Amino acid sequence: MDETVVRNLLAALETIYNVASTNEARQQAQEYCEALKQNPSGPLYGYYLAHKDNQQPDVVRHFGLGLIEGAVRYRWSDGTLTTDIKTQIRLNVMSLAAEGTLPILTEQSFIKEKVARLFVEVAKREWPGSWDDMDVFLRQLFFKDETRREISLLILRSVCEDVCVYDDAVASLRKKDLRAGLLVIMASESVLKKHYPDGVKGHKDEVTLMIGETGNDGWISRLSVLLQELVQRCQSPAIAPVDEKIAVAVLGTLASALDWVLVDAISATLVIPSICLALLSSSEKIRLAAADCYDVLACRNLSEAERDKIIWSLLDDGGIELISKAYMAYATQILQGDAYKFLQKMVQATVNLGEQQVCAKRNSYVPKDLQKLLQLLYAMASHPSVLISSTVALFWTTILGHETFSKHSTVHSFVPPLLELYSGHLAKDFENRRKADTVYCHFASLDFESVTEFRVAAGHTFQRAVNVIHCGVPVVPLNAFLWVANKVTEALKIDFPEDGNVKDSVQFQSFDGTITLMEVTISSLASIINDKQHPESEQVLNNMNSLLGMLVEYDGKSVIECHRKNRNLHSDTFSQLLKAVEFPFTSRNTQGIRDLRRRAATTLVKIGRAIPSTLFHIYGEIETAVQSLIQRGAISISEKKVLLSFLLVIGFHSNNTQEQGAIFEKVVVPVAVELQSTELQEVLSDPKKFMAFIGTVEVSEALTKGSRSQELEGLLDNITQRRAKLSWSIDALSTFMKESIDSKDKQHLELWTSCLGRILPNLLSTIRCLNAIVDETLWADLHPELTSVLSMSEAEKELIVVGRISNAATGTGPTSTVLKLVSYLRVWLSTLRENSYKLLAQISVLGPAFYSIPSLQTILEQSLFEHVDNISNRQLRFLIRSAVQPIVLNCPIEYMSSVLSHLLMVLFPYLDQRLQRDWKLASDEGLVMDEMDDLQDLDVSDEIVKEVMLRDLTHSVADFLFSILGFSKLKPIIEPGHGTGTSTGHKNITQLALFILSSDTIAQSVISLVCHILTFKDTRACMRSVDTALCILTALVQHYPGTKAIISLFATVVLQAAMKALHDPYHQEGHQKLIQLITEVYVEVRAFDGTPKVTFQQALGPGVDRLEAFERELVAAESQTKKRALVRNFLQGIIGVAKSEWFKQKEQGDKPVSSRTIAGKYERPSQSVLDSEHHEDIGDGLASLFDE
Amino acid sequence: MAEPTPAAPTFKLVLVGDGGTGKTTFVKRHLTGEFEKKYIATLGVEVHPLAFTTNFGQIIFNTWDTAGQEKFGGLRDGYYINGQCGIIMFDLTSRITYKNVPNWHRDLVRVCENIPIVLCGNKVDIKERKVKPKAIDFHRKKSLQYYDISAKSNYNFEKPFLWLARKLAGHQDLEFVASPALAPAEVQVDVGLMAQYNEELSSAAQMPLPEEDDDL
Repeated sequence: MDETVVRNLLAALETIYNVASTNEARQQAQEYCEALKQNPSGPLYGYYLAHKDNQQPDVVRHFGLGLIEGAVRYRWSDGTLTTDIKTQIRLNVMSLAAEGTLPILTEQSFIKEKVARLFVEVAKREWPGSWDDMDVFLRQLFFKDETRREISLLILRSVCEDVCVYDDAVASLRKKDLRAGLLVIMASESVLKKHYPDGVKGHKDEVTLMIGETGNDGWISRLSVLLQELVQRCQSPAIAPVDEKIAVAVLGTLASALDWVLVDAISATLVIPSICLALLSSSEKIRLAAADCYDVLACRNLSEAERDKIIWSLLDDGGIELISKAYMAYATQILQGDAYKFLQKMVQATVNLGEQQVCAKRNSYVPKDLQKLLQLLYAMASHPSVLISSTVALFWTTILGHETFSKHSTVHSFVPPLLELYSGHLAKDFENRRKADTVYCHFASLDFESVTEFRVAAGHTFQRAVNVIHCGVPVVPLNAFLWVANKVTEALKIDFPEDGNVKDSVQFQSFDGTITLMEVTISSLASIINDKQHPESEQVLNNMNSLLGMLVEYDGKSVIECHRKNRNLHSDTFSQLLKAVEFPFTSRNTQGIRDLRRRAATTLVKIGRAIPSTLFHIYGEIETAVQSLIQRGAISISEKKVLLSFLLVIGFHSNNTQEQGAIFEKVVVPVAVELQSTELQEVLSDPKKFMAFIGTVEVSEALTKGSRSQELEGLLDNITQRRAKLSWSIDALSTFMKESIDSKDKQHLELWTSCLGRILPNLLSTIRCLNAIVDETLWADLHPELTSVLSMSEAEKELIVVGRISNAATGTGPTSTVLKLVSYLRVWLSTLRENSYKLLAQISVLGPAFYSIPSLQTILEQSLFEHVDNISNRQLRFLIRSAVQPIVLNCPIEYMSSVLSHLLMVLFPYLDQRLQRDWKLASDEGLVMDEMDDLQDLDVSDEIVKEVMLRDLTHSVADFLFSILGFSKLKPIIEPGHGTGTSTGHKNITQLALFILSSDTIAQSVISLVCHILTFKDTRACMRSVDTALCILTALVQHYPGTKAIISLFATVVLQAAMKALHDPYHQEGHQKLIQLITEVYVEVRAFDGTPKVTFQQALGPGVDRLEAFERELVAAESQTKKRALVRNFLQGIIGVAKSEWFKQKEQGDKPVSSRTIAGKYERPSQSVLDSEHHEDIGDGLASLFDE
Repeated sequence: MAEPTPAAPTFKLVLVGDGGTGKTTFVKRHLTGEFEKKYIATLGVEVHPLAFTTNFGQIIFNTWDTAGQEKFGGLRDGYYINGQCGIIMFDLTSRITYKNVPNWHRDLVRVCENIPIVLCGNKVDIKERKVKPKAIDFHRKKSLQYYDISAKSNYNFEKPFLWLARKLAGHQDLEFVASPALAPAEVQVDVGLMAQYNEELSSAAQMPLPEEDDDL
């Protein structure tokens, strides 16, 4: 090499690497280096510079390697390198690997890595097809000496990573070849023969490759033997540095291969026991590398047979003992750095082993050392790091829910200690613990960068702890309840501090944690207690009573008085909870106390639902206590609702049906009477009066007068109380109904039916008024600021788009009293609307009692739809989903005609017209979002909000149509033999669907609506409508010729709409389903009607011959399957193959050309071809038809 | 910017990541206090000494701002030689730049074993964030530190340096006692949004890692 060049290069590199150089000087030096890279002799210079014998500084050697790498990476395939030069480069690279580097302990690792990488760059382009002895060469290196051995391992690891781990662009071009080559060189000849006795599928060249080289023992075996030797030597404290380096390299290579090599190649060796032994090495580097291998194995996706070969042998042959020993050696130490990394990796790998292998879905094999594995995981769960404990909780939840292991006694034996352990995470006292416990604090500071991160993690740990307890309690119900009861008894003695922030007090945290524990426990036991068929149901209940008896005994009371004392204990418990419900507010911590009270109240309902019969014995005491709280005015109205529900829950969920009427009279009837009041009747008779009632006039006047904040606050209090008369009754009745109605229980239905007359009139008037006041003209005379009630708040917009309200939005609540007034009214109206719809939907469950109301159809139309034009798409969506859909679905057959016929006749065209109008508007203005967008990526702009609302409405309408026209899950209601009984199979058409399709007017309007939704640019709604259309098709076909009048119209509009959607690139994801719809309609309807052909003809334009030929083939086809295939092919002939399929076909179609391996060489279609919208297969006729 | 003192400990910091992710802008923010509004691809490498004053004295990061674009790569991994710490940067508004993070990491650690590395998601000020906090888990697999940053608004500017300084100095209680001279923010980040991102990142950190697979 020219010495001047070398001198200049040295100077240039000196300039580049010298920190003191100016960036301008560095730039010039870089330009010189760049010119060398472009020099045709660059790769040859590179070899000279890189070789150790030429004694260049390391940075120069590295640059030399870079020169060769540049040629390989950028010039290998561009035609500038001749075959001879390429061969020379390859020989040079081999030479560098074989003799170009310094001894293992002297050579810089970045040089070794670069040599390995360079070798791999060539291999990725040449091996195995054009470099058939690469593996032989690598083996020679491996057996030569430690220096070459390390290089060979680095090469092997790097090629495995590029092909199987990283998304390497060059490797992915020849992935199939490279992967096949790697599979072969990793396994022994015997394993390959066993695995591929006849060679693998494909061609004969591939077979040659897969059989492997005669006598080759494969890299896994080679590495296993080496690792065995090394781990023995690496157990002692004094490890030879060479051994350490080689061991880390071996384990690194294994980590890159164990995920994909043939399982037999692993099981035929002792590689797994050696990895386990390596976990015990005194070298931290070796341990970490071994833990990586362990994790790769634990995560590998295995079949049952494969698991048997490598996982169970690991667990059953002492592997778990070694793993436990490796973990336990560091489990109690205060670690950091790599030592802590090792511990974390061990936990991660063991959890993966447990979740993915032991608890694999269909696994029923119980490892012999299950006890030891669980002991290890329990020890891990007890680690003071929140992160570690939380991670292990995932495993416990999985195993406690696993079909095999949840019933296993070994697993059961771990439940009590687990409950103890994880209940410690429920108190939410992590802040206090962090301050008080130094070890806990040490790991928290290592695990989390900030306190916020720590808090969030602690929150997750809480949830995971709940999950473990929830799964664990039913396993040992009695013990669990005994243990929980002790904790509850203690917690109920807690006195809360009078001052300060109650929520942050240790007392509250402890109380809260125990109440959570009790809730989780009771809800976990509820199914056992309530299910009388459950073999252990009675035993659990008795045990619960025994437990209470034991507690009483513990207090030193007589066993004979046990039952009475049980009652007292229950009473005491509930008195305490009721006391918590009325815990007095302090001026300093209203929110904290409110949380506490709400917590106590909802806990009562949950307990009531879980053990209603037990509580029924003390119903009298509970009722007195609740009534006393209400009469004393000690609780808020929302708490009142919850406590009344509690009474109702006990009454209606218990077995004592006789008392239900009386309880209903006491709890429900007074609320219904309140709603029926003449005052409310008067208010709801006119939207203007309603507006006055909700305070708009007073507020407007106060704003006009410029009232002070204090006066406005007072006004707000008055108005709030007044509004509550209406909203509370509706909300409470809806809650009561949810808790006390069972559509199969005659008595329940009768009780509610008796109240219907009291509830319905004002409920419907409320809905009517709510829709009416959306009309802006009604607000014209009021203060302008009030009108903003009709528009959405920023928080609401965010909720619509993102699905939740960010901290930013919640943090910026209304600041002024005026804004507060507006905001409260907006929320109140929206809640009232939601609750009213909910209650109306629940009422429809009453069946004939509701649907037989005279003129119900007219009443519903007036109250629900009279002002429907006023309401927004969001409100219309609620109306459809929450009220209309249940009313239609719950309608008994005998009332369909009187209640639904006119309603649907008006509703479907209205929805059709409104959706068409809004989609056209949206389309004209330009759609601003892509359905596939992550909503969280979107800006909460007015355009986005509008479009999201329109899409949501469209989805709801599509879902509504599917719900009323979809197949029934019940037994068929159509007699077999009726209709044509086509190959679509006999589906259970519902009476509702039949009713809708039997009326021409309704059927036409619903079909039109479905078809329009098919064509809107909303794939989700489009796909839903495809399902609906398929259901309609089945119904029409099954009832042919009764449906003769409608079937041809259906075929025409559905085919047109589906083809329009198919032509729209927006619906690309749905093309398969659209093709299915078109196929089904064509095949099914063509049997009795010519409409499909006519529609295709219109779409195809002049290509009539093709259609005729297709029709002839269709007639000749004997089976429906064949017919479907014909239509599908014909369609594909019109529209071309989907873009996503082009490449696939190309790859499958090309035959390999390589001499020994699968070629996998393909020409990637040029960009212009891929992106072309004018593929030659696309027929002109179809496009032109819809372009208008 | 604090003036470097001769005795100050100096570390070679390698700054890598895809082209256009904001590496040069990030560095120059400290140097000149100006936000680079136009994009000029870095050729090869530029070295900038960034000095910070800590409660243990001054510390200097000789920051090797490397070319992100392959065609301007120069010595590529040659620049990493003797690197003592690293920052891998990606653009939160471009998924592909995050997808390439494993490749940058692999290249870096092949040359510099066991150096502290910070992963930075830049441009957090832009609302059209494409790489969601929950999707960012590479740093957990490789035990890196992660920060959302915004060169434009100075958000978290000093965080990567502080973390690296603590690691290199071996003092967890090391603090920067004087803020580096930075120009006023070009934009203000939404504090609420940042809090939400932080919360989501923490939540993501609690999720089990997917199988060891660096192909993002």
